[in-house]
Amino acid sequence: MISARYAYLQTRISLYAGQLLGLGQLNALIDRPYEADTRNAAGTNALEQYSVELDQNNVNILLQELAVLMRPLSGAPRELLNYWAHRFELGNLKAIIRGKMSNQPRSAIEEKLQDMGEFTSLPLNELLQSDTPAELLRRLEQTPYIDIARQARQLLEQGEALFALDAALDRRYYAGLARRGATIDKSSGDMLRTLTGNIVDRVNLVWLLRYRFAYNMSPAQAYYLLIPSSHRLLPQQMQQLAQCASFAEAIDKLPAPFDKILAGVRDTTEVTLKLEQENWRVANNILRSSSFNIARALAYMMLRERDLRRLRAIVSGRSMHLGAAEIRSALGLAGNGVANV
Amino acid sequence: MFKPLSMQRIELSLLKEDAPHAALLLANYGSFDPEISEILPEQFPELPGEAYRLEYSETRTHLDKILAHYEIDVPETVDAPMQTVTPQQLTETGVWLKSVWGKCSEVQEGIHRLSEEHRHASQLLRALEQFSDINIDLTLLQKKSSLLDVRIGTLPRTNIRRFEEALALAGFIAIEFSTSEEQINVVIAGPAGQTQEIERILQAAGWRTMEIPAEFHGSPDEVRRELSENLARLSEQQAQENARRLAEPSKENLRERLLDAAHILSRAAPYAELAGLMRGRGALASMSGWIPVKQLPQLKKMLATSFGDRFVLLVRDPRADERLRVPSAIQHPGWLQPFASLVLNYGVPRYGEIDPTILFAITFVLMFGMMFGDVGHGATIAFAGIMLRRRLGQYSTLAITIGLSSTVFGLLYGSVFGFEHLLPALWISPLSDPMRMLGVALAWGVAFILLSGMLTIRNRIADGRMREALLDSHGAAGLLLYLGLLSAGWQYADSGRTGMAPLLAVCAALAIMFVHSWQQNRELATGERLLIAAIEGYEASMTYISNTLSFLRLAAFSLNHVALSVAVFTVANMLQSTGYWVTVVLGNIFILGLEGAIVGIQTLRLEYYEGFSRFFGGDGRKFRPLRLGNKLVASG
Repeated sequence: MISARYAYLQTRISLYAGQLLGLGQLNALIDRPYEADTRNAAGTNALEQYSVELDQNNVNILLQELAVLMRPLSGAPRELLNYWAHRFELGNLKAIIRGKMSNQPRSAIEEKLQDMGEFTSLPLNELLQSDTPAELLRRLEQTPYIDIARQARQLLEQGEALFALDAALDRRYYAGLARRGATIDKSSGDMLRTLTGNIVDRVNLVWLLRYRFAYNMSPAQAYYLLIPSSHRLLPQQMQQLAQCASFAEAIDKLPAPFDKILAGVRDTTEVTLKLEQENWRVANNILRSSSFNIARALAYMMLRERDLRRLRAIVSGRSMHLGAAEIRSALGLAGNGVANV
Repeated sequence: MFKPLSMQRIELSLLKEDAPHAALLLANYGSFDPEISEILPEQFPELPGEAYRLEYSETRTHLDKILAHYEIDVPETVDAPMQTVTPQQLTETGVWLKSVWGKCSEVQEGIHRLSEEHRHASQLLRALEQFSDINIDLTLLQKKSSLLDVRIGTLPRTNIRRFEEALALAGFIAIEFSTSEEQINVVIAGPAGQTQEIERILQAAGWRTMEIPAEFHGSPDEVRRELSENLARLSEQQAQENARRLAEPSKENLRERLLDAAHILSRAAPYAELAGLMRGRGALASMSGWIPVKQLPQLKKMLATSFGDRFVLLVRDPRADERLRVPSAIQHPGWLQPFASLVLNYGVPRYGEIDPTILFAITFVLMFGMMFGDVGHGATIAFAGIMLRRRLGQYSTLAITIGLSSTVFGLLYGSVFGFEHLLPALWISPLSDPMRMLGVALAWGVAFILLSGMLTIRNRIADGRMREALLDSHGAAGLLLYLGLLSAGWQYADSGRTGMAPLLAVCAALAIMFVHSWQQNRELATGERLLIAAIEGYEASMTYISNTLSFLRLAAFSLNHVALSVAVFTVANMLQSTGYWVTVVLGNIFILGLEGAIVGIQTLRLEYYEGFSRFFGGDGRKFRPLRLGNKLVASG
């Protein structure tokens, strides 16, 4: 029954999976002679504009493919994939809140927004029409983001930095992703929980290290700001890591399997890259070795986003005439033993 | 009436200073659909009126918000429709409206604050009931201590576990004592001296400190009374604020001034809308768009009267490559409007395409009547359409026409509220000869599909797609296939054999479609090409057959109508006289409501899927003339 239900989905994913980039293709793009580029490095403004277009283009591609994959789905699986797209809207909401808080003109804020097409759920135009931060929050209270609006109002009254608000928005999003992943039925649930759980673990660990050792927050505060969900990194383990005195001590005390994955890392950027690669490895395994489950759809979307981000980074790097080694390093492809993910 | 009006593209160039007046003129003219100018940006690099458009957009936003705040409706007519709005006038209006909105926003903030206080006080009152559950002396919560830091407050429910764990890391404990759907009341306690750390966590968690009334410990009833009084006072304040808000426009002619501003913005709207589409250079501006051919002389006359020889008007016919961009202007008499709405619900006819509204109206009414033929039910629907014409608006005509059709078919079937013996059937009682009914439905379906096929061919020829019109499965080749299949089927049913001519027609049609498909898929691999070409022929044959059979539902529903009536009377006959009539009445209401709705949906389905999906593109662009108006101009 499940096979029949998801036949269209599986065929679509298999077709789409054929367009994922292999390491060889990436290397060919990075090592391509500069003379072969039709677009040369222009002025800074043109480059910025080009980057904005690329970002929008990538979002368009992802959302178009997501819409196709969502077609045969209903209920919780559909809701999960729809929610995955929601994070682009989160970026829009952050841009509007930041823009309004710093009194930016509407046109300047609009330039930073991504067009979400049919996936748009926020009344962006109404939010943009607000004259003051207070008015923006009143309008936001009419949306599902009422809790964020109330918290933002409190922070605004206390003159707090926007960091807390951004953190609250991200925390809310990832907690929602973990919750939705957990509601999928058993046939696809285990793999989905692995995928969403890995994402949550990665974000939690990176945030924990950053809050504690880059922002110098107290263990209690850093721990509170993490996503209230976990997969392989248990709450007690996170509490212990939060109480470490230094970055090196925290890395030394990492539980398995993170101790092996992150052996020898020097900063949170490396942690992010290594954990992302681990997530992509898992997604790749699910995509290649499983069949007839929703997890493949999410795995494909994760890998597709990875490819588009890499392409954007390569284009931006080449526009700035960076060397192949620098581009590889930024993509986490440098060094020996790079996994083919 | 059978196809969208013939259009022409105009490019109007004139002095920049005349552009606002020209915009008003075109808006009052009411037949100009603006489009982005075709002049190359290199030739006309400027965007005259861009500042005006931005100013208008912001001002319009403020006005709309103010009107919504004061709940003021703006009349649809516009004062002094030919009076241009200067940039200075627009700026002044914008500045004034911005200041008015500033005050409105403050009032809204005040009302919002009252509402939040009310929510908080309500929660406190609910929490009061559970204060007694805490096993500590609450007066301690208000005493400052050098050793102990105790606080009481509310938190959003989400994330409470993480909050407790984080507090534990700082050596604090949390006790929950009252919860609601959104909030949770908590007492936290821990060693003093970590104020900054704790407050950062509280802040991130959305903590709201709860004020404990001093007398709480002594007399909870008194606190309850005080909180209730506070709630009543807040409700009263909210009511007063709302009353003040609605009374405000009557002070200092505010309402009149706002309506004046609305008229000004309505007159500014056309130029603001055009500003986003036109281009300029030096003292020149150029605007572009579509107008119906028959309206061109009137436009020329109006322009000559207003601008003398200070304008250049270039006119051309639509090019073949821009057919999809040409707007479709369709005019219908009032009685066709509800049918036109149902057609537009499917899509807008492409420019040059047949407008199917009249055909739709005729076939919809006939098919509904055939499926739901009953004098009583039809008359009831028509009567309801007349009586509820104000509530139904344009759909009143729809109800009346389908009701009359149902009545006529009721006379043909001899059916009145399910009674089959009151009137003699002028034609046939459906249940008396079901095969005949099925035959008629099939014949109707064949006629419907043949007509659809011919319209498809006509539309494709008009669209310049001659090859598809002739060789495609929905074109002439498809029609040949259908006629061949029909003829073969007819001969077989009649004599048990099939002649050569129909078979030749079928084979020829399939061969044509095969070659067409083969040529269309040149880029594919041979195997895939072969597969697609073969399957298309098979699919076309099956589609024609299934689509024809789909019309059997016309007969099926007419039979179903009688069968339902028979069921109602069977039940009624088992009861005494009162029960009999109650059952008959309720049964008829049931038939009228449920079966009426189902028949309506089935008729629409036949129209959309068996008709429109063949010949009607529905991807045209609706003609939207520039008008004076109260609408926002899209930014960007």
